[in-house]
Amino acid sequence: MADDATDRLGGRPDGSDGFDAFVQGDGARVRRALVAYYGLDVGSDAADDAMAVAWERWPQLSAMANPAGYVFRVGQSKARPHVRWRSRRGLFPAADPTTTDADSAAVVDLLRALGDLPADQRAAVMLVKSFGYPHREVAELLNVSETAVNNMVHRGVQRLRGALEVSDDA
Amino acid sequence: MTLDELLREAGDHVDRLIDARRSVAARPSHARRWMAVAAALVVLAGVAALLVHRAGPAPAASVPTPTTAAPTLFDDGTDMVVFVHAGASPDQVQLIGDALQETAGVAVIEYLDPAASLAEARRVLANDPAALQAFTMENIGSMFKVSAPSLSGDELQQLADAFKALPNVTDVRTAADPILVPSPAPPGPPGTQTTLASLPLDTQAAVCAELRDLAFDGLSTPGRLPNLEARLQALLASEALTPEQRTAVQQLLDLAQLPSGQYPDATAANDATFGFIDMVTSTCS
Repeated sequence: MADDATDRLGGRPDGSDGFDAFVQGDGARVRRALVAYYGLDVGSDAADDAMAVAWERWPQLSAMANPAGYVFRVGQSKARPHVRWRSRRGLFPAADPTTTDADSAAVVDLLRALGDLPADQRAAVMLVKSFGYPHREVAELLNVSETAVNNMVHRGVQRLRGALEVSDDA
Repeated sequence: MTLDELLREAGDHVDRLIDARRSVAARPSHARRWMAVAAALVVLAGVAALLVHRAGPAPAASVPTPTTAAPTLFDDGTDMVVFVHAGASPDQVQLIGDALQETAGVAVIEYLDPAASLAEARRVLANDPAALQAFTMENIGSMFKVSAPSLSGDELQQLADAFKALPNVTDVRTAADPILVPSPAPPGPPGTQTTLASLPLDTQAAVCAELRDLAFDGLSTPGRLPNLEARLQALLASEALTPEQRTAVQQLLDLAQLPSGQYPDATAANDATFGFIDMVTSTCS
């Protein structure tokens, strides 16, 4: 990290030191996780704020073993004060504002049911089942064991099945 | 449609929402919201910045302040907390926020309104319901949590001193202060108290709370925590520590006490942090 001092003094002219790649890869995963955890509004804002901090501290962050985990925790700290006085209602709007397409009633019901899950279960279920991330990556991001991710997904899916009155998982 | 298929469809839906929100920039983030505020009170900020920089270069390392470990207002990596009088109007609060925003070295500002401040007090005072009772929405006031990672300990202290002088600021504390939790002061004007109390580490629950906080601080604060050694020593003094926890805490303390020249590089220090987190996860689940 010979360029650390230069970076700290603002001498980093572009994203060629890996930050852009981080934003495109791990950053997208962090954003999805924060949105899953806190809903679209708070999660997106928290992701923006966390990325700003990541940019500020990129020289240190890029040396970390788990920078995505760090940025996720920063995002959590940014979201925490705001989520306290916001209702959980409407974590995920049913309609995409950029289209006129109506989403199926089943998806709307599922989004509502996801909103009723505990945040950690919701995040685990969505990251694994909706976004297709491996358990290992989710565990790394949420700073829990793979077994814990497994349990959270299992419990979350069970609750969803109960709420939606479906029994299959084919 | 199966539940798995529905979940994948929900993922696509949420991805579209995320993309739409980013593309239309529906509203500014918390940080950008502050930046969008007109700099009407640059004078105030200038005074604060001047006070920070007038003292010249500060020593590179701050001296850890002995303290008893407990939940604190700094658990999320906050460097400084500015407490605002409960009677301050929104405009007066805004002025303080503006001044912070315009101050050199301040990277992130979070405003906790009275409801959020009360929630924070509930977290920090979870083990002290008597102290918590004294706080209400009407008297707790609000606070700004400030992150200023580029400032040294001395610069941060000077910044804190400068902001103490601002109207409607009741107190300013930094992470290096021997502050642990806010507690009620003797009867007086509401919202003007931020005296301190400490919580003992005499139960496994209290030890685990501090271990989790320490792990979180280590994860969210690049570099060396300013009061790491003091917090580790406070843990080691607790009889509630399990042997496994004691070993891990002692190892981290040994690492922290290495002379600066022998301190491991960022990757090794980060590995040590995650090793500590693993211990916390396995012993405090």
